[in-house]
Amino acid sequence: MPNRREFIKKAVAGAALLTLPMGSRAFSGNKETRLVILHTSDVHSHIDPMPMNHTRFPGMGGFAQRAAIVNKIRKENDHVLLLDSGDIFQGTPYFNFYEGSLELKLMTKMGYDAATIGNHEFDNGLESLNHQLQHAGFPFVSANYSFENTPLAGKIAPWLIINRGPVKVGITGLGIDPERLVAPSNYKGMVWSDPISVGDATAEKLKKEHGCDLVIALSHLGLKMNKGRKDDFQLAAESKHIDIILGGHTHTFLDEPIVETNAAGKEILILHSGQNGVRMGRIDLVFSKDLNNQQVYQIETPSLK
Amino acid sequence: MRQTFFFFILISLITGGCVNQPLSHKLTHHEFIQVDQPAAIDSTIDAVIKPFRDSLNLSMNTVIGTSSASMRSFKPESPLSSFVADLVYDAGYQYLETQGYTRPKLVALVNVRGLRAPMPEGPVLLRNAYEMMPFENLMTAVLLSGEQMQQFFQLMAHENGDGLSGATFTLTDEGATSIRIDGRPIDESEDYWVVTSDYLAEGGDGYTIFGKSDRHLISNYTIRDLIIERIKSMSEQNQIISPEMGVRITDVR
Repeated sequence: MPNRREFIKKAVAGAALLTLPMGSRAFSGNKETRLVILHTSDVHSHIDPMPMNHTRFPGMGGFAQRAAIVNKIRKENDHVLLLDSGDIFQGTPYFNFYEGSLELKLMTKMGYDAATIGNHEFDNGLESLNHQLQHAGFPFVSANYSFENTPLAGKIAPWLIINRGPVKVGITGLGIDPERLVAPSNYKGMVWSDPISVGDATAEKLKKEHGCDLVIALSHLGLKMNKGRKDDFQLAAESKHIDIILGGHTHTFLDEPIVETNAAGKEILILHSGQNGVRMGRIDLVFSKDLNNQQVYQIETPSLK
Repeated sequence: MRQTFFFFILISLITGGCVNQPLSHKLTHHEFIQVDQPAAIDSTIDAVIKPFRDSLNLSMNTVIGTSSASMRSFKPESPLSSFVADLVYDAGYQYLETQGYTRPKLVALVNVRGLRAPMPEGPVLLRNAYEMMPFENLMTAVLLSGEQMQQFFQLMAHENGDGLSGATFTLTDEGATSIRIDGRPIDESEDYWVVTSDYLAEGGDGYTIFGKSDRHLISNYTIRDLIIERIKSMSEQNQIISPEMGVRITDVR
């Protein structure tokens, strides 16, 4: 099993390489590269499919069913990313008895590339989360949660870069304000900061300093929130450097991706795949050197809001 | 175009500067894949799950009671949140007496959104209790003054109601009115206990009033333990769980 520390090392090494002059990709001409991005969120410890008598999702979900789909897509495509937007934990007795270890072991075995931290990852406190992270052979990213004064210090990357063929993908994570949502004793010492300014600054750095072709924000902010909470719509409208928001928290089942205009007048894509592993989102992006004037995110039907 | 491109590379090579020309991309396909092919499973993943599943199923599929109807939790009040609030009230009363507070004046509060799955109709499994109350929240008693109690009910009105036992009120656009605890208006010279979860006692879901109290008694009972205990003891007495329809929150909005 790949070790989590190794992953972070590799990701950091990848980031360091980018700062060197010239990448070999500059010579790849106009060849197109297809990148398939798969994403889940709010799986909530649903290791097994939902029961057959479930009113909304009978027999749906489950890690073994999802893995079969992921494997098939990996066989058909060279470049695949598998990402999760948080709330991996809590919701079935698997979490009560095994404290998240099984969820993380299975995600590792399925080849998840990265995940961010949802509010329910704090449910058993930071000591427990720290203990469970040893089962994750993939990195957790969060740019606006600072764990400096906690047991998780140095274990959560603010961002990382994943190379798929010639494409450099920058990934960051954005967490919801824990106030009124998580018992204070369960996140003691963790400092939350504004996800929009931190997220956009991180994305800008990933693009300008590290030369990323694409920046994905794994968001657990929620699609549309009230009571003054920052949400994905606000993140989209007020940021300039994020390309895609893979969201969670609100358990929203979108039927189509949402295309918004960001603060720089560019298109930004928001995707939410729902809950309990009942659905998995998939988008295919084609990268090349000469698409500059094309509309990036063309959706055939109008998006929901 | 091509010439310009190679010229740019050449310059970059010479100067050793960063090539800052990201690849462009476009969306060519999107779908939300329904994970609904139970026949097609990954056997490697399933083999990892199996021992955990078998071990859990042994205990989780135990029948602990029977319910006459499916009961859900919703705002402002619901059969399930009232059922749980009532059992928390009873457990809280007993707990406070063991702590030396005889005949305590109390109300019980349960957050509607904390109850994550319905009580099923028919046999109730241990699994159902875990899914209904997945959190490890501990029953906690908080002492409030009569004045703080008034504010507590306004917060509950602001939250559009919640599971309540031992009190009634009317939910209006302006807040909570006609508040009665054990049938009587709040006595501002009295102190009252609110028995709830440690999550709400810490200010969760907007119940900030609890932070103003310096008397918090945190029990060793999880809310889930109390639910399981109640269902089991009803079953031992051959009682069937039925929806509690008594109105605690009269919604006139």
